[in-house]
Amino acid sequence: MPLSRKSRALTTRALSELQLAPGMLAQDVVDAVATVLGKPIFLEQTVDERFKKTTGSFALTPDFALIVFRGIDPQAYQMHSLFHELGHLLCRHRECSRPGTQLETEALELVLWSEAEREAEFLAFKIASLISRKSRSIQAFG
Amino acid sequence: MMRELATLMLYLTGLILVLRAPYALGVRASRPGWLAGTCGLIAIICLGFVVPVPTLDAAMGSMGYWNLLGATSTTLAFHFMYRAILIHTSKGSPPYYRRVLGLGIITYSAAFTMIAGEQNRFTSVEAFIAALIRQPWTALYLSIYLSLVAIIAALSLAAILSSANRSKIFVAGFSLVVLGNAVDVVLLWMQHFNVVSMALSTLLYSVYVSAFFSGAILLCLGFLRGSVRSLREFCTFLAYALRLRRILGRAGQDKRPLLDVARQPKIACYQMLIHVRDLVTLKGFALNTPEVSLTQKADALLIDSPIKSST
Amino acid sequence: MSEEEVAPSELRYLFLALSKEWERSILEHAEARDLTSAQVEILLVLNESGPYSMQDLGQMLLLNRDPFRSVDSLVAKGLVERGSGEDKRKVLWSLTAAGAEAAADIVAADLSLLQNFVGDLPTESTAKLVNLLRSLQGKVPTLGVLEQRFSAQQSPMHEVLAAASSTDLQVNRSPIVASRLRQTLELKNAGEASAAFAKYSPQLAERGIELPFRNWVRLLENGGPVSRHVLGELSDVLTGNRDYLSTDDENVLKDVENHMRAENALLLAGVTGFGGRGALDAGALQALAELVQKRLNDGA
Repeated sequence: MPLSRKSRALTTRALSELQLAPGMLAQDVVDAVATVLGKPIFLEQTVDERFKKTTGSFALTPDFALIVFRGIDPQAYQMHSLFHELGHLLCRHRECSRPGTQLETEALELVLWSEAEREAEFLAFKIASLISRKSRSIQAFG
Repeated sequence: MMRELATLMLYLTGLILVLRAPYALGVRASRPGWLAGTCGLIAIICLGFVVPVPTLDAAMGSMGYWNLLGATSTTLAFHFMYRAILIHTSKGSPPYYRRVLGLGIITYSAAFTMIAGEQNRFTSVEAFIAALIRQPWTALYLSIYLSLVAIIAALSLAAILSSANRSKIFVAGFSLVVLGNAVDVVLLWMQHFNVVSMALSTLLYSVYVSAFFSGAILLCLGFLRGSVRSLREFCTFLAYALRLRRILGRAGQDKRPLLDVARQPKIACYQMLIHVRDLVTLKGFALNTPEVSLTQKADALLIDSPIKSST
Repeated sequence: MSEEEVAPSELRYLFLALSKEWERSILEHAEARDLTSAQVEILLVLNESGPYSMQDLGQMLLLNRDPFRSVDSLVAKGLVERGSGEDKRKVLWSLTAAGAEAAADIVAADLSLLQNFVGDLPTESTAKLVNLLRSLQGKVPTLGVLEQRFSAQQSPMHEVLAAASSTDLQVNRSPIVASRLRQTLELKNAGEASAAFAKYSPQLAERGIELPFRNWVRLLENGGPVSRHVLGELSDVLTGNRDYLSTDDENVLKDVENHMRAENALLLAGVTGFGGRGALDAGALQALAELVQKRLNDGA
């Protein structure tokens, strides 16, 4: 997905702060982001119907960050939503506004509708690809 | 027996070269393995079973350098194999290693040049040894070369044994190479000093050939195991990615270019799976039963461990 | 005459001729109410940002800096009324309902005249003309006054020239706008008028709208006068929805109000930042606020 130059610089900086290694688990990534953020990140799996059109969300307080993802989703989708919210935290996004009225805007369009959302989505995919790389040890023979 | 074993080795090293070429081109850590295969292939060719030794020798100026090329290629094949083992076990080589390697190659090469007599008449290594082993330089050349290979194999074995993942196939392979070469060094000096009977000489030589070539074949299989696993993973993700691509096409979405999918099928599979799930969750797109099954299987393939809520 | 040549006194007389004709037309329109140019100006100023004391009103006028007689005349015509207080210098003067209606008529007439005068010029030429005049105004002391008067009524040039009537462009006074604006600020815990102004006027300024405090207070009390363009921008700044402050659509109102309540719940829970993937509607925000509160309670 195309990012502006400013967004590319921001996301590159965010990733370099993390130092993601191949084979890391999702929890390891959460811990790494918590270290960068300087506060704990709590994960909350929910089945609340009110998250019907929201695959994941985050809330930041002075003492902690909370990331909510949906228990009904398949694992890869949960992980992606989690990484998307971690992307928001890494980019220090404060408030992810939505367009005028969401009644006319499809939930799918809202995933990429602002620069902040595109940055977070880009980071989500990037984090996933970095941790799924083969380690150097495996690369020697495969 | 040597011919059969050498032929098997030829196919295995050829397979290594072909399978590992894409990785070697793109991934630095994969290159030593590929170079080991290349050097191994050259070494086998120098045995004379594919290209007759006289033809090989003629191409190199009829000075008998096919022999030295074979020895150097074998040495380098084990050297690169050792480098691959070090990457695999995340270990480093001893500080003296490069010096020993360089000195060893130079020394046995120098010894080879000191061997007297015409060498363009030999059609095999055995014929070369039988004719010239009484010369000290021949014994020195061969024993330094064999010892150097044995040392490199021993270092590889030590690296494997000191790592968490002790691959049995590599342990067996390197052990057999060390054993085989050790036996051959003893045999060569016995032959040089003419203190071995024909029967014992034949027996010891068979032990060397069996041990060394079995060991080398096991090492090739060890190498190939990783490559085959990788290839299987590549093909699996490619298949899933292509099917996910079809689903996206059915949903009226832009299809990812096939070249992108083929280059990195695992990443393409993941990204398209997310896209499909977004369509289902956020746009209400309906998957049919086979498509649901596909997405579930792709999900299981991609993710090993579930995410849990914080306590 | 060549556009590269001009006579020394020509430009002054061009301005005079045009403004005289325009004034004449406006007075002709206002003839039923028997108003002078000075009285017309007072009506408009009081409509835009009154009430004023006599002294402050004088500061806002171009035609007559001592409006005492004109104000008296307007009071006699039932268009202006005085506030309480004995000292005439401190008393505040404001429009009556008839005065507000008269002011709206004059604005409508001004629009019609504007469209007649420049309607056949290309929009870009009109925009250049306006910008040139504004920059020339910089050489005289009156620029600040005109900016204060007209910044809340700005609309894009092409909309002004194409408007069928002034009500297409402007809301003169609207109790609905006023009440909705007050409710929004309350929902967002924006505080008193001055605190809310301090918070949101910079955001409006980023969008090229310099809204004076007086006009802000008028909006809160009367819901105008304000251009629909500025109202839309303000609505967008406050709620993310351009139509909220002026719409009748119940769905939009409900959606935006629920969203604001949910955001408020998050802020009350101490949240300094939030976001989500997908719709993040009012329900999701409310659920998020509850989860944060639960986590805070567990921690406590």
